[in-house]
Amino acid sequence: MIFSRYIILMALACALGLAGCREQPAPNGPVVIKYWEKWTGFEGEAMQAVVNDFNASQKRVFVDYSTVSQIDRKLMLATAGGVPPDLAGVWGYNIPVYAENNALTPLDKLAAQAGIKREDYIDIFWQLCSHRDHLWALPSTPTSTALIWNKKLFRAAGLDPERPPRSIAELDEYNQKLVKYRPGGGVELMGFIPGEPNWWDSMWGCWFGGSLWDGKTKITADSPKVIAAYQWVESYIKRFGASHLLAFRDLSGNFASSQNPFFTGRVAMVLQGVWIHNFIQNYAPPDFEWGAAPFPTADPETLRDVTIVECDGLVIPAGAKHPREAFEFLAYVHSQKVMEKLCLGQRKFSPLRQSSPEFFSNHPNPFIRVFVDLAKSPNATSFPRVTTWTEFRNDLNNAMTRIQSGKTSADVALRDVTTRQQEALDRALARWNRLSPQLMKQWNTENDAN
Amino acid sequence: MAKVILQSVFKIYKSDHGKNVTAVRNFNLEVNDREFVVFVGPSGCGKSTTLRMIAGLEEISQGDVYIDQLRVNDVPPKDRDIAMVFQNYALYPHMSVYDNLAFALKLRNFSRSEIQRRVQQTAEILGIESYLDRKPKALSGGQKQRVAVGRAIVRQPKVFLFDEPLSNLDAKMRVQMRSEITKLHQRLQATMIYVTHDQIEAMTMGDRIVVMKDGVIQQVNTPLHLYEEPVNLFVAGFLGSPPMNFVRGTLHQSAGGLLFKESYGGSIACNLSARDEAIPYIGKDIVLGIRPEDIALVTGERPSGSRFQAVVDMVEAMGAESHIHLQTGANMLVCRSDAALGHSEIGRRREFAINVEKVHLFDPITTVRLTP
Amino acid sequence: MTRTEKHHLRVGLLFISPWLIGFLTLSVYPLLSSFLYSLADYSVLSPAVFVGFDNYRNLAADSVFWKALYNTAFFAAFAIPLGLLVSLSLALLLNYDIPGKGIFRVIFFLPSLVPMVCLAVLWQWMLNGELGLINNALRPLLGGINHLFGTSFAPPNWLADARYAKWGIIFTGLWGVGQAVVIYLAGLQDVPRHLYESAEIDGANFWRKTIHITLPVISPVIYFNTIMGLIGSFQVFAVPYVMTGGGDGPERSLLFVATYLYQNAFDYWNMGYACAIGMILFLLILALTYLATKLSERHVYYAGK
Repeated sequence: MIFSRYIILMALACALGLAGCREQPAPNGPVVIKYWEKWTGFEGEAMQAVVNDFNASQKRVFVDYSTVSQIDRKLMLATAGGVPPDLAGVWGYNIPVYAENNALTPLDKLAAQAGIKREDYIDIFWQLCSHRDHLWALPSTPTSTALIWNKKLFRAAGLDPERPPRSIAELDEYNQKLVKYRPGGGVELMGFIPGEPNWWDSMWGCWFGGSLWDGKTKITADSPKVIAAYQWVESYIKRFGASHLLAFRDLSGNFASSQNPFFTGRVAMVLQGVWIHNFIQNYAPPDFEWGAAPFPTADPETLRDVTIVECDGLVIPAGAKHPREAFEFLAYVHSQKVMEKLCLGQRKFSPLRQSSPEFFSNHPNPFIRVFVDLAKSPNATSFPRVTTWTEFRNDLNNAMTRIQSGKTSADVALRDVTTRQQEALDRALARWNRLSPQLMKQWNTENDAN
Repeated sequence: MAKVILQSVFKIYKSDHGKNVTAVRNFNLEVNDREFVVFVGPSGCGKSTTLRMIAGLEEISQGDVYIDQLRVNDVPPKDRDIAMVFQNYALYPHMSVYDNLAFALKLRNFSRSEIQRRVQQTAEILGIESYLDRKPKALSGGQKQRVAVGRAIVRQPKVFLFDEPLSNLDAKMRVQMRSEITKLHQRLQATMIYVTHDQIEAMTMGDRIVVMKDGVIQQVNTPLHLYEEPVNLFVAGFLGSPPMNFVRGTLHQSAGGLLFKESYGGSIACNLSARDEAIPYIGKDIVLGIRPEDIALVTGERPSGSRFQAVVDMVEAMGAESHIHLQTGANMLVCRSDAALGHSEIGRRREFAINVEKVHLFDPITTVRLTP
Repeated sequence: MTRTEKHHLRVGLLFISPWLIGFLTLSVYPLLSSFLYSLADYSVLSPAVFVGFDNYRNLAADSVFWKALYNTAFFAAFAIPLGLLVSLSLALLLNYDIPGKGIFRVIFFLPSLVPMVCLAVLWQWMLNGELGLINNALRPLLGGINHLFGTSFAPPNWLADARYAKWGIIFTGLWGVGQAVVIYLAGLQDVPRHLYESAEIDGANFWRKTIHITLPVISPVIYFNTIMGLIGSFQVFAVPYVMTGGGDGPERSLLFVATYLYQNAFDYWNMGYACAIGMILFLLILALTYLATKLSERHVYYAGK
């Protein structure tokens, strides 16, 4: 039983860690805050710089920053083992499931004491960090998604390079003008291809105004608007052939390389996040010309500026040894100046409502305002805040591959997802209903204690 | 039935150091149809290698091998129409006795009924019918050997090859199997080549014996001829049990003919009747060979012969006869005597007689027996 | 029990204690506790609540679990015989007395030293439909066939196409046969030479010698490798997990029981459910091993017995 062994080994590792944690610093030394983060590369360096500033600015608290892979699983096991870090950066969509499973410390009181208020933040990021009427995290590395297009290919196809499509219908029209076939069959160039890249295969419904659940107890992945979105995906399969589009999907495996089909000019338009600028700089040809604009929607008259927003949550795990000191660092990071330094370093925008003019003038991404404005849009959306999201998303991704194979129709695939995920959600809610009375009480006490 | 001919056969191995090692040198032999020939010699003399070349398990480095007038150098073992019995039986461990016997026939696409008939017949010949469905590991050594022999005869090959088949058996079983194989030969009337290091097996079983040493044939002849007229010291000493006694001495001219005098102060001095072949050795060293049965303990006047004094060193009573070990002062000889000699005689000086007629003389340097 | 016997028992237990303690803490305890957790709703962080056999009932009705089971059985059904064939053939070839056979043995063993994750990443590229080496090799071949016969075969998008994805994983698995080859080689060295010689004289060619001598004599080794292959195949995890980036592959074609177990335990916060999957997997492997043992009993020959 390999997995049981794995758990035991983890427990042993945690026990060793525990021994390490118990080593209290010298009475007059600083309190050491263990901070687990998942970022490497320039995002990690930017955070490290902020940590260094903080450590240099005072002598009472020392933040010990380390990069941890597979942070979601390790945090779960470390918390279960009673040896969590004091601070961790987790994926925003994991906050509800962490919170409901009692893995986090509620931050309401600490935030209030530090003067951190909802009004200071772009609202959707505050929402992403809240669950069940409590605040569990403060946002960092925020992102939003937009339509990114290759201006040269637009020009070559006789399209206005400064005028991206605004509706799905227009997107299809553009695609028809851009597409090029190979002499021997197959597609050489696609204007747009749903599923390239495949990171938001669970979210196509949002451009059609569809929602995957009702926000409480009901999965609505088979609601008409969601089905319409995936029928649109299906139309591409029918038009271009499943196997030809499969070939494109194989190419998307190498996103971070100069073989990225968008950079090589085999796809003219993609749905991408704020980070695309870094990758264009690193992997696209030097003369690559691009633009960013809100992704088209089914009906721009009633639905516009839709975007998928994500962020990380900086959390204090349940059972952390020094929650107050950890929050002290959190509050430091969330002052406007420090946050701008961090977000500039990470080449993202700030989750705070206010940003200084210098932030924008210094920002390397020429389209940073497009992404900020999208995040502020009332139609900004995020992965559903359902505790079964990982499973839900896996199911939706699977539905997407079924549709892409050309063998299953969109409505059948989505109905299967809905049935399965309703059961999963029912189970999760049953667990919540069992645990919530006690947890609610505990969280309120914790808030008061801090 | 078949004749096996080996012409100037060599086996040369490449050693690890790149040197050539000659395992068999210039081997010439004609094995007649229905003959039982035994290759005998100490281990490493090349007898097994020669057999394996006949079988096709070893490549022939040089020379030719013919079986039934066909040159078989390049014929694979399965097409040479031979059967081989191995020292460690080489029974297929996962097959029943029946399947072991039937295996070669199955490979040769014999009909099921023919296979059954032949296996049954073979089993009867060897008395192994009662354990045809046992696996080899459930058999005793002797039973295994019977099966191994059975596996050879079931094929009815032209030539049987035996590679030390009895050396893994205990003494009693060995004697029994020895006579069984001999009877089998008479019954099957097949050509058989049999390799052993045991001279008793060679003497009792072979129509002819090939004595080998260091890859070279020493002598080929019938057992009795080899016993009576060994060609050199090696053959003389190898065949016979206890082996021939050798005494080193010098040859002198004497009144009655020639006088052999034991060297190094030994007590033997014996008058040999005139032998022309020995004349060139007068005044020189020579080796005298005498078989144990040709030395006798003198009791009263008998027997006649060349007498000498020696100290009784040890007596091995074999029942009908005794082997008396005697010390001449320079050599330890063995005498085979009908007379029982008590242990009290040990250490006593007694008189012995050499049957001069049976004395062999050898050149001490070339080791060749002097012949008229 | 006499005093000496008691003493011997104590000393004996002392000597086997390193294994005993390891077995109890690392095998028996996890096995028992995962059985207990399989009867509970358990998210790791909140206390486990006993729910009887609910997890098993849900499993029986879980189409994804059945799909994972099907995928795993499919993988095992092809990976085990194919692995057996390839490793045994390689071992037979490498057992030949040819110059430089040591070098060949090393070359064929080397891939087994590559960590699973690297192996998976490597083969992800090898099997890439557009850029992969495999298809680069297949394209001219299929082109030739198409040209000759007027067909229109195209190389598959191995990992992106549900019809071929499992074959991609099966072929990747063959890369790691080196371990089995080494065990077979050890077995082959033990086949007595005189059996081959005897068979040669009896009239067997290479093929017959392999069938009638080699295979029966090394049958315990084949049995061992098959059982190990069975266990390994039913626990297949790392390679598909890495190749799919932790997902299920196209149309769930690469979701295996172990992957589903892992997802439930560490992604879906359903440790109880994962433990139930683990127990089913355990029973399944146990049953199949028993079956394999029964079926092979008459064909496996042990020299010592």
